[in-house]
Amino acid sequence: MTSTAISIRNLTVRHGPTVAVSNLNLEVRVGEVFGFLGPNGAGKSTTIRTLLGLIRPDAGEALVLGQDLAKAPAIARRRVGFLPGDLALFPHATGGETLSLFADLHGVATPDRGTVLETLRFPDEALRRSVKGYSTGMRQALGIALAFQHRPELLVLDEPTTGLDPLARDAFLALVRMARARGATVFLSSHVLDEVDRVADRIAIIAKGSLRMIETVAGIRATLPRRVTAIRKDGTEWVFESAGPIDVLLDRLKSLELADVEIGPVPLDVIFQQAVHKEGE
Amino acid sequence: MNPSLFFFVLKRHRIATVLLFIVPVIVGVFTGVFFPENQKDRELLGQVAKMFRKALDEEMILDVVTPAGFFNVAFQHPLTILALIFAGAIPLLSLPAGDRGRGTLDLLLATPLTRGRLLMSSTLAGAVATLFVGFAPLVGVSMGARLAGVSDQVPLDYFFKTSINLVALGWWFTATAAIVSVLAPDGPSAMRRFGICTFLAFSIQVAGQLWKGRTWIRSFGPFGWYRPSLVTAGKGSPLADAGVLVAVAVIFLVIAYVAGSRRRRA
Repeated sequence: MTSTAISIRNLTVRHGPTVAVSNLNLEVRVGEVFGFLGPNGAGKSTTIRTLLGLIRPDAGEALVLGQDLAKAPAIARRRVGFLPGDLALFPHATGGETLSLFADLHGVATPDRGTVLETLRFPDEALRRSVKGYSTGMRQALGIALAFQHRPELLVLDEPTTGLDPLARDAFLALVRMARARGATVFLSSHVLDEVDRVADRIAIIAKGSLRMIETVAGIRATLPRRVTAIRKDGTEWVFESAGPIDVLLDRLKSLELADVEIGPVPLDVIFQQAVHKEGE
Repeated sequence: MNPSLFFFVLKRHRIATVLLFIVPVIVGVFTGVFFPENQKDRELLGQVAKMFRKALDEEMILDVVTPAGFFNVAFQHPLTILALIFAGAIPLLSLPAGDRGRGTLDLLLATPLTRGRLLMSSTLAGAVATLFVGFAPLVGVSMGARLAGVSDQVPLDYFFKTSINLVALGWWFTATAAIVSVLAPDGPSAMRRFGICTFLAFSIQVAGQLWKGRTWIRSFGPFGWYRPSLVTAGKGSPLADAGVLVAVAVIFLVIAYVAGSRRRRA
């Protein structure tokens, strides 16, 4: 059994004259939650569609569970659960019909359907209603159920929490943790850095079709300074970043007349912005 | 072919298919309602039809004097032809082109479903809808003939063969819709392109009829292989004509399959 769930080598995809993905190299290990970040138009969705064999690359290859899904027997896709970024469903079908259709197309049992719907608090009666009457959040929840219901080995999720309320978002993150606990790999593309921060083992940042950073979340934290917010007794706020040993920082803070102090990690969005805008872009 | 998707597509377009089935039935029933019982009235109508002989090829002229010829109208009525064309085309234009535009195609093709199987499922759904609507004029004519009290004078065996020819004509358009749908970026674009194809098919027929001495032009279009007037006159061979239409439809499907497989994007 391969230890690599996703292997992207020298991948280049062009949309006409535009290079959507440029010489991308990436490996995702089996069993990890991998955050795939990037601004709009960075090439995230193109990469995902190439992974699933929905787009043929101009150069390089993208292997999923050891196979190129564009060339491998279609049955290999049974092992993958997919949630597209701009989720569209069949408006006239009911939720139940939609779930059954995709279960039939996968040709496998759906052992996790009940658990997923229950976790997302998806009402039973909604399964009997046509999808066109669903709210955005319900549609997204149904999309999540489509991806998870057949207990796939690999979940490829593009902007999975779009339209979800905070409770549903937490429920989704719980599903991701459950999937990881049973050994599944999760490839999570998102704009919502906070949720990636909460579940991802490693993250990759892509901008203008090129990989800017790939690192474990813990590793990123270790290399970055702390963010210190100090509030003086006169009420003024002082925000700065501090690297190096914590003792030195604490000694320095003691010498100041402070009403309060908050020391925390640099938010992921700062790392994201630095990576996206590096090289003067 | 994937049975689940096939039934899903059939179910998705069931209302449209039933409505399109009703149209030729109504045409057939109305043909019976308006059937002139008086022989002289029919002969008068026949004289009017003869006036078109200068413009049209003789074999295309309807024989409205005999009940068999009169009820043939139901098989050549524009509404019948349009219902037939759309019955097969709607499922095909919806899947893959419509779903490509909506974004649902990605979701389908991320499952073990291949592009070829997807196209075959959609094509088969279109073919079944065409089969259903293709026999609607026969149902209508049977009802109409009963209403007019001429059931015994209407050769339903001829009309059965004509129905087979009509279904084959519909399959020609279904296969054309398959090529269009595979190549089009979305549903509206596929509909426009299919409209152009249909217009060209009608134009070839009209050109072949109006251009004296160039009737062979009709052979290049599907309507050149659908000649119900000849069938009721006992001259044509509807099953052979149907065979030609089905053969061309199969070639079109192979083209659609290859074009679909070679698409860079789903």
